Amino acid sequence: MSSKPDSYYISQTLNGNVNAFAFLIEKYKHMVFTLSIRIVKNREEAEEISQDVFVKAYTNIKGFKGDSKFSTWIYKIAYYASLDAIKKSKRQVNTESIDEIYEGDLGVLQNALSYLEEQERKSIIKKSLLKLNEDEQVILTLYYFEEMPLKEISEVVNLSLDNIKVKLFRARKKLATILEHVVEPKTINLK
Amino acid sequence: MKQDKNIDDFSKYLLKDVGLEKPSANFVTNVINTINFEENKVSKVVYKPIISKLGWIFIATSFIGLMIFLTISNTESVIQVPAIDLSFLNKLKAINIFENIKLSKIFTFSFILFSVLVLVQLHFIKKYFNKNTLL
Repeated sequence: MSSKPDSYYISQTLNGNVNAFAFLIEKYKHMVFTLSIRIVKNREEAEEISQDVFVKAYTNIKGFKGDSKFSTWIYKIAYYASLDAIKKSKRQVNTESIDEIYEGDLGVLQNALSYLEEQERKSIIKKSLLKLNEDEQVILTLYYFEEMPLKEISEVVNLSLDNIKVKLFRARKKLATILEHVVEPKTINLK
Repeated sequence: MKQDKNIDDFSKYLLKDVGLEKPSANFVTNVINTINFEENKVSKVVYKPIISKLGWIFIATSFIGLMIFLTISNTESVIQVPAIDLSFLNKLKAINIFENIKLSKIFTFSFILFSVLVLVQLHFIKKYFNKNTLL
C-alpha cells in the first residue's frame, strides 16, 4: 500500500486527488491518534482532534514545503492541536510530580510485569504513561515507539536538542518510578 | 551508565508493548467526508468581480480615447470652464462656530497622546485576536 514515498501522495493530493490523501491518513492515523489520546486523555476528544488534524493538514498542504518529513509536520500539528484542546477546556490534567530518581532494580520490575496478564500489563503501562506530562509522553512515544531521531522530535515539540535529551532522561526514570509504585503492591498481593 | 542502558531498553520494551491506540474503524471515511464537505462549501462561494473584464476594456478604451482626443484637439476650445464666483466662501467664515472655543496646550497634548495610545492598543488587540483565531 505504502510502497511509494510520502512525497508522491503529497503531490497527488496537491493535484486534487483526495484519495491520495486517504493513504496518508491511513498511514499516520494511529500515531496521530495515540499522541492526541496521551495528551487529552479522552478517547472521543482525541478522535475528534485527530480528524481535525488531518482536515487541517489537507487544507494547509500547500504550505508544506518538504523541508521536514511529512510525519514530523503532521505530528507537530497533532501536538499543538491537542495542547490547544486542553488549554481551551482549561482542564487540569493531573500529572504526577516525581522528583525522586529511580534507583530500583529494573530486572525485578520487568519480571513483575511479565507475570501479569497481557491485557492487565498493557493497561498498567498505559495508565502510568498518562501520569507523565504531555511533552514527556510525546517524546517517549516518538523516541521509543516510532524510533524517531531526536532532531526530528525537537522539531515536533519545538524544544532544543539538549532540552529533549534532559526530558527524555527524566521521563523514563519517572515512568519506571510510577510503574514501580503500581506494580509492586500488585505482585505482592498475588503471592 | 549500565543503569542508563537498562532503563533505555526497559522504556523501549514498555512503549513497544503498549503499542499504538486504534482510532474508530470509519476514521478515514469521516475525515474524507469532512474534507469533501469543506471543499464543496468553499467552491460554492465563487467571487465575481464587480467590474467584469468587458467593463474594464470599455473603461480603458474610453479613457485612452478621451486622453488622445484631449491631446490632439485644442483644449481651450473643447472645455470651457465657466467662471464661478467664489466670493460667497468669504461669507461662510462669518458663521464659524469654533471661533470661541479655545483649547489649552495641555488638553491638546493629552488628547494627542491619548489618540496615539488608542492606536497602539488597537495594534496589540488585533494581534491578540489574530493569534486566537489561528489556533
